[in-house]
Amino acid sequence: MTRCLSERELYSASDARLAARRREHLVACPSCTARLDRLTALRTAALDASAPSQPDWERVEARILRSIRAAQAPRPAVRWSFAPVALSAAAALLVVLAIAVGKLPTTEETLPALTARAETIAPTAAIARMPLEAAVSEQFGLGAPPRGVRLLEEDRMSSGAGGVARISVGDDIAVDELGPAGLSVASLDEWRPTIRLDSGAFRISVSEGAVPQELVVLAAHEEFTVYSGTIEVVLVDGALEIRAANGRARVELGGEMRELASGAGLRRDLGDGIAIAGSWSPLPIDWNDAATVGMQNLNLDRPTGSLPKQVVREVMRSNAEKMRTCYETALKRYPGLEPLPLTAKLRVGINGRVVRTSLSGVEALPELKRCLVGVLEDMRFPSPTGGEVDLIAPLRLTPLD
Amino acid sequence: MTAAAMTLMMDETIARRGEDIHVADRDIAIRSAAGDAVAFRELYARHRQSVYAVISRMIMGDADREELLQDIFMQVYLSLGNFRGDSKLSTWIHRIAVNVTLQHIRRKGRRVHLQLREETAAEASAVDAPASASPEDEASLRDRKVAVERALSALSPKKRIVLVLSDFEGRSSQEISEIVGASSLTVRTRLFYARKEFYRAISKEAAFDDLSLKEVSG
Repeated sequence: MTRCLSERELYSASDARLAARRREHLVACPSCTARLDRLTALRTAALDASAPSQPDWERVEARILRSIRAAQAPRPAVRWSFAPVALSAAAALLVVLAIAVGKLPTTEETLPALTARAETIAPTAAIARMPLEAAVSEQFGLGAPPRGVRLLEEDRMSSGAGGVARISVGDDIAVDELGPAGLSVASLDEWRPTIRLDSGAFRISVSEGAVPQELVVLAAHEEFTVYSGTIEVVLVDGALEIRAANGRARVELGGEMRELASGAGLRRDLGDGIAIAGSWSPLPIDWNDAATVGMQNLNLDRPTGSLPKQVVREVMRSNAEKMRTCYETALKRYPGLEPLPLTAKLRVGINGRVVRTSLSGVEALPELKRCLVGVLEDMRFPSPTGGEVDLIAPLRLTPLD
Repeated sequence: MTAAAMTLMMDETIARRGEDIHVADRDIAIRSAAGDAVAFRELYARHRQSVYAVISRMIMGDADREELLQDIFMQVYLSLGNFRGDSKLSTWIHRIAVNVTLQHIRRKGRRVHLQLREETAAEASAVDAPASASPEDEASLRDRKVAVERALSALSPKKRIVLVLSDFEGRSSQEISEIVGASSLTVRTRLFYARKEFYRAISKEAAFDDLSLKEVSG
């Protein structure tokens, strides 16, 4: 019999959205059927128990109408009448005119939360990300990619154009979009244990009023929550900076609320690289209140170029055999070698040569690391458009059966 | 007439009915925005129940529900001039309801935590037990209500809203995504985590002992 339903599949089944082949298992598996029955009973019971009592609808209606009359009083353009007004061009025109002369609030005025999202979360991300994991896994026949946060897709290699980034945490796929405005960070807090940010520069701006009011960004097991104001988060090689961008901001760091004056910020040195993952040890460096950074002091050193995704993928594929050789050599020496989830970070210079390399996840095997880094350093890409470009390549090395 | 043709006709009928509703939505929105009180009353009557259901579950244990309902429909009225009919009126109204509710929660400066206290007689009587329910059943329902309230209030507002809209209001992830302004995949992810937290929490409550979910997680 196939494996039992996961919790996610169980919820899908309770929504009647379970895939057909899994439904076959469900029907044949008494244990899964019992779990589904219990869940269904629990959902029903929760629904029944939370049924709201009825308010006095008429009383609320009367209060609403009173409020409307009060709000309407200084607005001669829109009169509140208690006679039905037929749908007509005149009625429509009245609405248009009311908006034109500012008599009715616009959505922007009345519902900032609805409109703020696109413009408030706007990183100038210069990190290049690409779907190398899938490509490399496929090339190596390595099966499932490693657990952790990964960027699976991106249509661009640097800031500028829009694109879509899909991020996943193991089997639990979560998605944020890297639209024209940048990275949306609506649910990063849910992925806390395995957030991984890369080197290079990474900036996120969040404003009060955005739908995800509380933004949590993690760095080396630290987290901070933005309560109000606009902040900028800049991750540069070796440092993380949080800055109040426009006016004051309130940020909670390590359980402590901080008030940041406009332009002031906090900086944390993260040491060599800022790969952030659940398995990394916390860095023993405290936040430094005294470090105030301003925009002009930031040396982001971030690349601005781009490379087509397909080109990057082809170069990685063409070097896959060499990486495989490195791994097989290590396997001969260490037959019991566990599968290795690695992250390679490359900076490609303007001439297409790799000018900077880092490889994490293989620290315990220096020979293998040297071999792989050698392969990475020897890679040759076409010259990027617009300057240097950073690439991240999650790799998984697993013995072939 | 073949079965296929009949199906097609039925589909067209359904599509037309959907179109009619859409037109009626726009009609009612335009008339309300133009100051037609009858139209606005109709709008209120059509949507008050589902809006109130959402806010009641978002802020269970909060006495401000009627005021919030009032604020929401006031906001709906003020924004009607901006309703362009791109989405269903119901979705648009719920988007406003969600935003006003989240603002309310933020304004309160806290998540709406369950107030762990003995319920007052008035609150206890607010539990809608069937008329024929025994005192034991009523007590059980009350206990469950408190447990649900506790589990919901433990969720972050954004998780709570997707759970309420999905599992309590029966809305699709696409609709929820339009309401909360997130991609539907993000909504599904939030919903998964919300359900995980919520159902595990209530399954640990004594009030739900007879419906234990211990094995749901497999």
